[in-house]
Amino acid sequence: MTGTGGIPEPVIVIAGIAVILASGCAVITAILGVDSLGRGYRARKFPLLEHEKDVAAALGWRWRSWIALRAAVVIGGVLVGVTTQIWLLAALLGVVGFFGVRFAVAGRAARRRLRVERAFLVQLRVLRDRMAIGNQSLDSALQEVGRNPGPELAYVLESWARGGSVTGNIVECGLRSRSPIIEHACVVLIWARTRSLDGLIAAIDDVLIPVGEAQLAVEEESLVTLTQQRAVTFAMSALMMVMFISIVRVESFRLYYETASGTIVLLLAGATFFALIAMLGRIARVAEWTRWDLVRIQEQELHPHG
Amino acid sequence: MAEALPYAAIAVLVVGAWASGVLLLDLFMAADARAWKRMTHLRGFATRGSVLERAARRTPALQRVQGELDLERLLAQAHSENTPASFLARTGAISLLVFAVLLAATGAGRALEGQWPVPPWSAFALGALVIPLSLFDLRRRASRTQERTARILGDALMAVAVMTDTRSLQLDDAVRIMSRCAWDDALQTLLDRGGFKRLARSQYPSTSEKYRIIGDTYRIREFSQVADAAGTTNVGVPERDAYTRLALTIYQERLADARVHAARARILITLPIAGMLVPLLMLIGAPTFHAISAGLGG
Repeated sequence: MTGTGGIPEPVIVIAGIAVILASGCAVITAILGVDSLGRGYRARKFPLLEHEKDVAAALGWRWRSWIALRAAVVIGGVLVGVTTQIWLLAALLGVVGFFGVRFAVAGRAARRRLRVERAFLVQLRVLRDRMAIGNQSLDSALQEVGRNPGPELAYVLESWARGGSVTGNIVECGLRSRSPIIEHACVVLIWARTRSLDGLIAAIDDVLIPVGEAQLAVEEESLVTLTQQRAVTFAMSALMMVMFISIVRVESFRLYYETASGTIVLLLAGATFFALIAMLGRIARVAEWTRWDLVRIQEQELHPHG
Repeated sequence: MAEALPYAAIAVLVVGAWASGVLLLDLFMAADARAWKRMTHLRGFATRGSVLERAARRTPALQRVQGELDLERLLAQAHSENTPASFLARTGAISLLVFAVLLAATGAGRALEGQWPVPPWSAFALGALVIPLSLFDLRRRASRTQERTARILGDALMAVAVMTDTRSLQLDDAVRIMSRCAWDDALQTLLDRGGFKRLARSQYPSTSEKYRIIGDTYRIREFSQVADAAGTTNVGVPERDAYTRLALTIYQERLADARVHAARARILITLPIAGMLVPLLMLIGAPTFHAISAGLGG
């Protein structure tokens, strides 16, 4: 008993009934409620793009230079792949080039960010001493600190040296840092800034410095985990690459990997490798921090009940 | 023997249906006891419940299963706007659609090749697999949202300590302001947009009570901790000290967690290293196997 195009009739009937029931269920879903999947990050933030900007800032690079480097490595990877005449390898090297650069510099970026955060905490102590011992006002203390920020914080604290709106300068410092801990400290500075300097000094003494040190301790522990994860991933990648280069150099093996079945095997091996790397990433996961929208904090500070 | 099995199954089903009917209708219960039970229901007093309910109450494993499959709670914790009915309808729709598409594909495969490419029941099995996968995904989303909410609240405490002290803002106002300023809107959805009302329906006389209820119903420990800290401010502890100490405690906990995690990772990391043998063996073994089989084939 066959129907259209040789498909058995019972199959057509059962599949048709299933489609009708599925449509009915979809209509019920539409009537009863709509899921809010995809909510999480606010609409104007793209997590992937923001992460790229964070890495560039942590390296102390301009955003455009970072993107140019990524593009150059991807193109270079594809070109190397093309010269081997194994097309899948060209695509694979392109993907490795895209994700690999970020991974390769992630350790350096994390170490530099930690150095910047430590230096920021030192500058907070200097700021506190200038106000408490040197009897300076907040804006003049900020300007003094901004003029001698040290090499790590030169770009981040540049705005403090300018003068003008104190809150605006603190916001710009946080935005430039793209570091959760510095952003966090800037949020507290914005809220702690009142007409009385004593309140601000007490907030730095009792809240910012002790909590900042606790946050740095968490960050240091995360760096240890990240270093472990990266060391193992590098070792695994090197092993895989050496093995692959050795195999491709053998004529019979290279001929096999140019065939369709060889391509499938290569795909499976690559997928297994990336799955293992992903597994490693899940095992050695580092601490996450809340990121604050400093411009919105500034608005809320002006109109807290607005 | 095999021919008798369907009859035996039908007999078991009939006896089961009869026993269930008798239990449901309370036929063996005395008339006055039944009347008292009805009055208890009318007045809203707690009853002993059915035999099954009592058994479920006494069995921790069953209670856990019941708790874990509580769709209303899971959907609220995941900040989903779906109702349990719409979630079930959506899951059913996806499941049926997967079944229909796979069945049609296998049918088309049979029409082309003359035999089933895969057994037809595999379409049903994969369609049915959508249901546990949806539940698993919902549980994962709920757990992830809980983590995000707890993290934002913990990270907001340092600013809350300053806002309540220097700006004299109320605890709830300060937390809500900070929730609006986080990149992630998990805390804002729960607190500022009133998402907590879905599970925390009881009345609360104060902010600390409100946070305690949210902490209990949404299983977010940080809310209960903030409620405790707010309680200490009512007996004279300065707000800045109370919330700063809580923030420090939370960061100490995170540090301890990070250390435990790093120690565990040192051992678990050997698993992917050992797993690297698989792609390496595939790369060497596949051409070798191909060459041997080609040689044997002549």
